[in-house]
Amino acid sequence: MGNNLDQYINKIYRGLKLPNKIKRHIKADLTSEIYSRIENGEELNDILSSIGSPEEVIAEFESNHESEYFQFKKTKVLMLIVWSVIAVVMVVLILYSLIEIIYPQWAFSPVFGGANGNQAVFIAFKWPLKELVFGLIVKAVIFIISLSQVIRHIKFSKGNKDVRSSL
Amino acid sequence: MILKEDINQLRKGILRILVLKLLSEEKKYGYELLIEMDKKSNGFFKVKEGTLYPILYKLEDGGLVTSKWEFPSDRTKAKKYYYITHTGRQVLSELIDFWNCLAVNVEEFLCQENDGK
Repeated sequence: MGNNLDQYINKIYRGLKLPNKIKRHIKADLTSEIYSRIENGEELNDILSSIGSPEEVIAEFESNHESEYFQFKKTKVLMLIVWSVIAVVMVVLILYSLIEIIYPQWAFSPVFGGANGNQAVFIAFKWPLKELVFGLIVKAVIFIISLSQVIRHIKFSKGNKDVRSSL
Repeated sequence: MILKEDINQLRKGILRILVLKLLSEEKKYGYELLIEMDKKSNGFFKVKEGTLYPILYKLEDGGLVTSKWEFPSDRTKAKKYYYITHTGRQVLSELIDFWNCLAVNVEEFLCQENDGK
């Protein structure tokens, strides 16, 4: 019984496209209601079918929290843009780091210095290989994180269409 | 489609008054509210959880209702009870006055329209 109930509640919780604060309220209220009905002698399956399928419950909650739903959706789109930009920037930086490691002669080297009369001093700087590799790893990790966030947000938008179209 | 939206909007507004009214009698938990709403309206205001709880959350955000988890003596699980606040009672009384006025005026308006025909 516990498993069925947990699955039902978790499916609703995960499916709701609403701020976490509201989702936590919904989870607590639904769980509390179901337990009181069980204590009143009702069967779990009867209770769940009277409340409705997780998809129906999600659609109804979202349509009654319309402003929060659209605000949440807007934030998600903004996050998708931000993560996409980060992913693209990381790709560029990773490619540049690879060039720095494989073809160091093609990479830009920062040059500091100046001239005074007939004397001039210029210092060219190059990162040691160990630090270049470390930098590459850090960029790769950031890229993987941003890519996973992009995929998550794209999945969210797809899931969104499915639930709303069932309304 | 438009008719359904209009009815939903009207219902939502009225449901807020009914929820406040039920809570003004006594503290209640969500399911109790659903049952009483259904019983007292002879099934006309039979609402689902997805409609009732958002109303309660908005009333709570507006300070008209407050909630508290309690362990009833005969139960093993805690229940979330909703209470009406002092502001909630004041708002309810204003809403009831407004509703009475609205109902009379709308009724008169609609009757006049019928007479004209």
